[in-house]
Amino acid sequence: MTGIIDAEAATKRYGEVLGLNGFSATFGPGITGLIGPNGAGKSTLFRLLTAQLRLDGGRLDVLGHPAWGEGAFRRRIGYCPEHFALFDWMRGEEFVTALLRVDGFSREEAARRAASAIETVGLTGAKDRRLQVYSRGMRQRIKLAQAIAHDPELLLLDEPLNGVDPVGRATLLRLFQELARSGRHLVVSSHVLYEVERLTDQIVMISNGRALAQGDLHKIRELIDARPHTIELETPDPRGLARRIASWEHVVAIDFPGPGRLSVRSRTPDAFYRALPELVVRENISITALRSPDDNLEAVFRYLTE
Amino acid sequence: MSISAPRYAAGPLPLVSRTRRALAIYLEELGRLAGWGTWLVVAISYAAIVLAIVVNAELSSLLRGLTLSSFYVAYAIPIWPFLILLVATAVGSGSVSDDLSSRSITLYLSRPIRLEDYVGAKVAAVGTWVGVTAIGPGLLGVTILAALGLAPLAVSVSAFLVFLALGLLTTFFFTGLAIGLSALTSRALYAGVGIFGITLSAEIVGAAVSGATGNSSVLYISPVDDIETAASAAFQTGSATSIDPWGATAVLVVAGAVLFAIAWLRLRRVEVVGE
Repeated sequence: MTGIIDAEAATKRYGEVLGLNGFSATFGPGITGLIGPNGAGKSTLFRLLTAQLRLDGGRLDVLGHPAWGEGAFRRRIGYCPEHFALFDWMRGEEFVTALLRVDGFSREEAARRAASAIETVGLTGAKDRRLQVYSRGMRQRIKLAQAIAHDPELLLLDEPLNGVDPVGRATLLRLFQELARSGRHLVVSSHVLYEVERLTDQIVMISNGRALAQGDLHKIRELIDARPHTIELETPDPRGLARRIASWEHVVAIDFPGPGRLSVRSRTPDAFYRALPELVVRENISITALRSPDDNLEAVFRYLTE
Repeated sequence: MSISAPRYAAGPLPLVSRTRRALAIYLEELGRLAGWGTWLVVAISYAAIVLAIVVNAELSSLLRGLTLSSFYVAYAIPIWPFLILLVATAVGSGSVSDDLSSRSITLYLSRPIRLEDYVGAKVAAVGTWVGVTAIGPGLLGVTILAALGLAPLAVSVSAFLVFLALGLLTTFFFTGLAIGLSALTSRALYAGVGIFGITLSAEIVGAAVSGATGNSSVLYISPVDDIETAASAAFQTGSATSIDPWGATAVLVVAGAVLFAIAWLRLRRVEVVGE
């Protein structure tokens, strides 16, 4: 065991549907982004980690303990679920206090911690309102309050920025970074990739219940560099340019997506980017635009899931 | 990814006991179920049953002497079982189904408790309200009579114990019915209709089929008839009952146990909720 979370061929079935399909990954300290589309298995993984589900196969350890295990170590985990439904009959402060009581805190300590957590997420002004009148953004924040109120070492945040307005997002992102700086470990799931990109380089990519890749973003980029990479060019003579680059060994496909446009797929984008300027200078070719749709995390994910 | 051993920010924190953590769920649930409708039905139950016991005891004393059978009046007309049914429906229908529909059950189950703590707290909360309605009025009526010196001590003690036993039996069955159906659906309305509908339709169907066919054993399917039969025997009324009191008691116990088992098995599979 070397990580905060260690998964080895973790498998979870829902009848004939595989929620996790031999998921293997190690989540290190600090913030890790868990990235995958809806239905990829992110929530299943979180629910396995919080002992709401039982593993059907493989191994899943969290904080050095089997995830499906009893014991006080569970209070070292804070969990912010994806869903927005809460105990709507309760007021904000009651909600956090009640869950802290289940965590095992005395009444006085629970009240103190609830007030502090609510202040941290900026909901002090709304703590006496019933949850049923909370907006989605407020619900997200009160969920976060109950997740951090017991000062856990590991925070599992399932789509924590969903429904939060832009200002709130910035605030929460800062909060996550502060929590990480203070020694907490965070696993933040999202299908909105730029959010994770702003938060951390450490990512685990999941799709169809399997870990596609893990590590820092640069290493994952190295990984995908072995696969065809798309570069789009705009030029007055796309067919002429295509004739010249078609013989390059690393070019595997050429397409014409529209007038004056050329799409090239290269196995080694670095080689392409080195060779292209030489060709442009040598042949005096006019290129008005060059872009790679693969420059963001979304594209990385698309590559890996293809 | 560079991997290093985790450095935890916080040391071990003192936990209150598991029982107290389960108690926290129980107390929250107890408060949540305490709607004005529940209070109203409970108040009506106390007023009606205590009044019936006290007035009947006084009349019995004047006419033929107060005996244990005098207390059967509380069950002689099936108002009490239906008031208990109302409370069971009001407090039980949403007890688990609300948590399932909102998926807020995950907020409990992700914490350091066991499923049995959660289920136990839910059962205890519903059972408390049902018990308050099913046990309390009888005990209060007897206590008032004894306190006012209107009933001999021996009769009072016997009546107290019978009310307690019947109340526990009734509480066990209706709590099982409420929890069982609430765990089966994520819609409190369906659970409520089921709790009330099953009991009421069993009563109607039992009476109709029994009347039409002359086969009284069909009355076992009616919980209200089962309770009345058990009460009639326990209070030693001496009147013949259509069904066997021990059989009726067994039906209530077995049915309640099966319903609890259904709830438990369903909640053990709660992991599929929301997926």
